Amino acid sequence: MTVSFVVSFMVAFAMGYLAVRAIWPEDSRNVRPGIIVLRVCLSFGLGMGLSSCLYFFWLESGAYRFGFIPYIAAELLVFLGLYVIGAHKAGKTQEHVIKTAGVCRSFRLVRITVFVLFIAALVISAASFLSLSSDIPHGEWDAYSIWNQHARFMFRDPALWKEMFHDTLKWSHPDYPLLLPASVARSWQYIGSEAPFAAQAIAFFFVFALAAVAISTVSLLKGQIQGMLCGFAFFSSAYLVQYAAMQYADIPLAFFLTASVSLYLLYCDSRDKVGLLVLAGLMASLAAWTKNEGIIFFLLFSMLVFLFERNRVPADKSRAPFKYFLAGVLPVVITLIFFKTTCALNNDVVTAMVSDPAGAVSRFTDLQRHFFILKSLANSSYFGGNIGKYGLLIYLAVVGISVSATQRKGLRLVLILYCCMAAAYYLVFITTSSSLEWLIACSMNRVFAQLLPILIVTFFIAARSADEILSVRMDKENK
Amino acid sequence: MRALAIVIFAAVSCFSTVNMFIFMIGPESNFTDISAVESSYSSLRSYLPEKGVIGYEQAGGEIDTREYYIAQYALCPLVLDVNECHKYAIKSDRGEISVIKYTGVK
Repeated sequence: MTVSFVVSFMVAFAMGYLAVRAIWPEDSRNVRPGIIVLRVCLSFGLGMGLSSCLYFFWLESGAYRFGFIPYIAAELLVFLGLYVIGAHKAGKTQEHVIKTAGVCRSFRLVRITVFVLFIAALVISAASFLSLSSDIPHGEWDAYSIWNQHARFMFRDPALWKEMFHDTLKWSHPDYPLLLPASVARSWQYIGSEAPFAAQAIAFFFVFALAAVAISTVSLLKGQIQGMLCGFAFFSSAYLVQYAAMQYADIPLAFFLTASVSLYLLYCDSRDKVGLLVLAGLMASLAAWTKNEGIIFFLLFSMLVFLFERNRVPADKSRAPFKYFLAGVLPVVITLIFFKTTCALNNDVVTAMVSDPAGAVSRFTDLQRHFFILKSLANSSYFGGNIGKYGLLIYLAVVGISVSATQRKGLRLVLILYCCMAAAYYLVFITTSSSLEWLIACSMNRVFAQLLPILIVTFFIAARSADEILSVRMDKENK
Repeated sequence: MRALAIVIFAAVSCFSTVNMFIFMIGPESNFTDISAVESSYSSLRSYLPEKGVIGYEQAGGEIDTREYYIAQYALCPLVLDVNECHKYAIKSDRGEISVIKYTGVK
């Protein structure tokens, strides 16, 4: 059983790896831990995304009537196609490599202390996940009422999988995209039974890949110690590990949001390495294939990338970079549109808003609701664990802000995107026809969990690099 | 000063991570395993039709949403309907779960 799961995982991972290699060719002169970790994590996410799309088409096309063989054949075809494209591109790697923060001789004792604490935080977080996850193998509320339930509909009887769209089951949000349920159902199909550990393992890999993407991006742009500090902020935020163990889709969503933003930041720093932009588009589209909130992110991100990149024509390219971004989003967006037009029912939030616009407007103009949301927002101390929001501000005041011109451009897009996302969520909260108290109690922390990793990455790219601070100190001592 | 800020940041964050671990293994974590309830519903599978819509009732008429969701999770691809009467229904009465077959209902 475990071997079958490992096979299913490795097949998806290999597909993702070949896709990453085809889009962002490896450069033998640029082999560094940060890039290797980033490639591995992106391969995992992309593998899950591509295999879930194939699984959906296997069900929707009726190919399940011929067993699992057509699905495996499709995976094999994609595998071979990506291998050929990757091999073709291997000899044409672009000459530029991602710039990194200058390699500094850091204050050794501090570096060692930070490294030891980082490893401790990583191990403790993994233990927290394993402990909670073993207590709740089926996950918590959303896992069994939405995600794993949809996976069961797909796995138990593929001929009846569309029963999950039955009118009676509107409460299970059948309009939600299928990345997570299809990934779980696909693993079960490989294993041959509904082993809960498949969903647990997918949740585990998503949350630690999320952390690794954030840490490696900050390491590549600001140095290794800064990357580890980013990791501390991540591991100290209890909700991320907790929601992962509860098997909520907010963590896979956070993974794709963070990966898109991180790739764009690296793209800005890499002098037009367009492969990174294609991957950013692909990751954003996979966010849309994970949860409806991901669709909002995808639309906003695409719009901002268009605005920021429309006038820029790279010196060695004849086409504008945004076209590369579009090329990345296309395969998954086609799948999503197909799903939304052929299977998914209307979304409850959108339907309520469209059917009663006057009610939505009156709720929007109700100041009490605004106060209530803002108060709930202010009361939630989330980012930074025991350090807290104020501790982080003090930290920023002490170390200062330091960003390069290329990083500034990337950060500007991310901050605008962040504000737009927050505004979109706020609009949903304020106009919802459901009970506001209930919605805030259920959703506020999960919305934070989705957006927090982007905020963490942004914070540590904006803050002066710890590596820089320690090397300055080292230089002073040498003098 | 800045180097100290870095070390303090690392140490306090690590302390937060330990706190999170204590919370998650502690009794106040307030998470419940649904395995037992889920398997009691799953055990009724052989008494129910293979597909279609069946009823779901609870003693007293009030539906415990959480238990209903677990029942649906356990029994899919059957669809459990709490609103209408169907030939087959699941009845839950304070932990006792049974299958009811109504005559005269299609």
